[in-house]
Amino acid sequence: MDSLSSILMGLQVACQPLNLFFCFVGVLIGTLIGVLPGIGPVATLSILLPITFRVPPVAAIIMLAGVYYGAMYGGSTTSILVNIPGEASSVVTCLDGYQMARRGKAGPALGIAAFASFIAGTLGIVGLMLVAPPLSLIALRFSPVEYCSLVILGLTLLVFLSHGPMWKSLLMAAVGIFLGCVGLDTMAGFERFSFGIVELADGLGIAPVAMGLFGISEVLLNIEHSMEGRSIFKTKIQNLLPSLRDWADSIYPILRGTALGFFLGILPGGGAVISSFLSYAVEKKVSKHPERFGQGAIEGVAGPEAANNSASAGAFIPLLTLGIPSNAVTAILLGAMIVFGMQPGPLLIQKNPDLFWGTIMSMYVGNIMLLVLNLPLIGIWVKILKVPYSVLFPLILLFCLIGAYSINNNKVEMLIMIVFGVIGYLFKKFEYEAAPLILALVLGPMFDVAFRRSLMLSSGDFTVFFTRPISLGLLGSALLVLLFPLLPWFKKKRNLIEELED
Amino acid sequence: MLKNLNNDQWSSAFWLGCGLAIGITSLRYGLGTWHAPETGFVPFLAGLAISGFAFIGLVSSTARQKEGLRWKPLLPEGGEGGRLILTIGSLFAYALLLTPLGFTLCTAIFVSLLFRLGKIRRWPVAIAGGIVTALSTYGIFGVLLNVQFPKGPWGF
Repeated sequence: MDSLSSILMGLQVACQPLNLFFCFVGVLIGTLIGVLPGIGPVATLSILLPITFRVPPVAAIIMLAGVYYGAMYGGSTTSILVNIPGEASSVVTCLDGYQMARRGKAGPALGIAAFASFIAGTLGIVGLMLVAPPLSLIALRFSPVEYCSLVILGLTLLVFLSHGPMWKSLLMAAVGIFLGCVGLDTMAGFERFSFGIVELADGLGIAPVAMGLFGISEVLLNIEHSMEGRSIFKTKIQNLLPSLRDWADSIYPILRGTALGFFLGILPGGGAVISSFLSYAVEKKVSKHPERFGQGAIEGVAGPEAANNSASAGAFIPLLTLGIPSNAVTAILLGAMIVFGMQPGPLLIQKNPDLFWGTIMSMYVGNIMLLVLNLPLIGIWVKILKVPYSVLFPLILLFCLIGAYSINNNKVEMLIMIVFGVIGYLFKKFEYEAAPLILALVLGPMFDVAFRRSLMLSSGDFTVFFTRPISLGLLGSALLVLLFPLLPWFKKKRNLIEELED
Repeated sequence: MLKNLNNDQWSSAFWLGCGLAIGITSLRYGLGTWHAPETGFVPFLAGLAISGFAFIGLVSSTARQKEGLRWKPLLPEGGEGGRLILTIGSLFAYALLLTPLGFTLCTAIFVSLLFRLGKIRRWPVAIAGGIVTALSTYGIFGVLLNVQFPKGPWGF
């Protein structure tokens, strides 16, 4: 099938009424949770995942993907109006977006955030369309040896991009690999670490673990703080359409942010967050008036918003072509695809072209929907922001419980979720990041099988990982990534970004 | 002496124990050989890695203790700590009581309690909110999305 007919087929799938409906539901929910601080796309996808089991697979994936990139759009609204980022990737938008609002320019700030998100999201999808098919052809030549090395590189990159000491991230990745081994060993047919609990025979589900680590723990952390209502900066939101001057100031930051976000999005480990910070740093560096940053510079909104949106498109590349998720959200999408009987990876384009091209084309449609949704509905999002957290948190917890229960209609998943919720809360208190754990949990079974098969194929010869060129390249890259933080200039740059984040 | 340990020392000591326990338990499943690794092989390596990284953490946090890093309390002081514990307790109670009580009643009680734990001061408002939430979630998930919720002895 040539590219054009694939694209047309994808468009046909995306434009089916059912898929359009679920795309709309996805981007609407995504924008909503992006607006609401305290519940992110990971928790929402986890909650929605069990519910999508009753929906056709393509529609379900289209909806879940819509939630992801929709959240990137919605996150900017709270950053600009309340100075509270709806999403981690919108933290940097607070710096100049809120200052613009304080100076009576909330409208242009919200407008440029929406347009930047649209342009970057669309260009990111073009990139995804161009890069994914050839990459999947290369990936077809992968043996267990290459897959094993790829998992090691993926986890190393994630650890490298995580916050805090490296030993903590590596430890979390090792815990994730172990948890991924719980349940039936598919190679030998024996159960491991299930301790006679029937529900654990299939392993720990991604959904209850992710809901616990990201959803429940976030709520537990939030209820520690005061439940007083958020104060929204009172300003008249007008002139949502940016002026020509605004466009002139923003277009290059948008393009730079798009390119930066797309390539960082491909790398495992919170691409959207890192790329938005990096985009801000780049814009400040190239600006003729860096002193305007932090005082309401429109470039400080346009660049990072573009970066976090194109990063979400880039994150789909390793998922769809290699079957390797690059962050917690795509890890849940991977879990969803497996539940639906699909195996994301190089064969996905051939075996499920409707899903592959349908999802990609639905992103175009979804981006248009988001632009239409975001600008006229900003008033409604502002009203939703006024819902007090004391009303919101019982509902979030209830949705998590219902989501966990509906996986298998029993209490074990609920209990797993609650236990991981408490564990996630403790992780936050002890400053451990949960993202490497969840990614390793997803990749654990793949790593287990690939590693053991590689050793069997090579009769226990470890040099097999270094004698095959692709594997050598992947492991060499992993080693470089591990050694990178030792370079003094890199340490300096990293400290700078961490200071900015603080 | 234990009082002076900081958070990282406690957590890395915990992980060190966990890693060793995982490693020892993995031996029961069999490690196999290099050319034919068995069921316990990867979990054993994971346990080993956990212990190794935890040991590094223990050493580095001990060094930081000497620089003056001390224990930071986990729970907030005052009513917020109590609210946190009650919320966690309610979550476990919901999971355990859902089947015997049935979805609607259990949900109404759970949500009312959480509303009350929030800033909704009056019980009647919290209970009304709980009942409305229970009925509407039953309508969305039970009727529209066909989730099979447990029914209590009362038939709902």
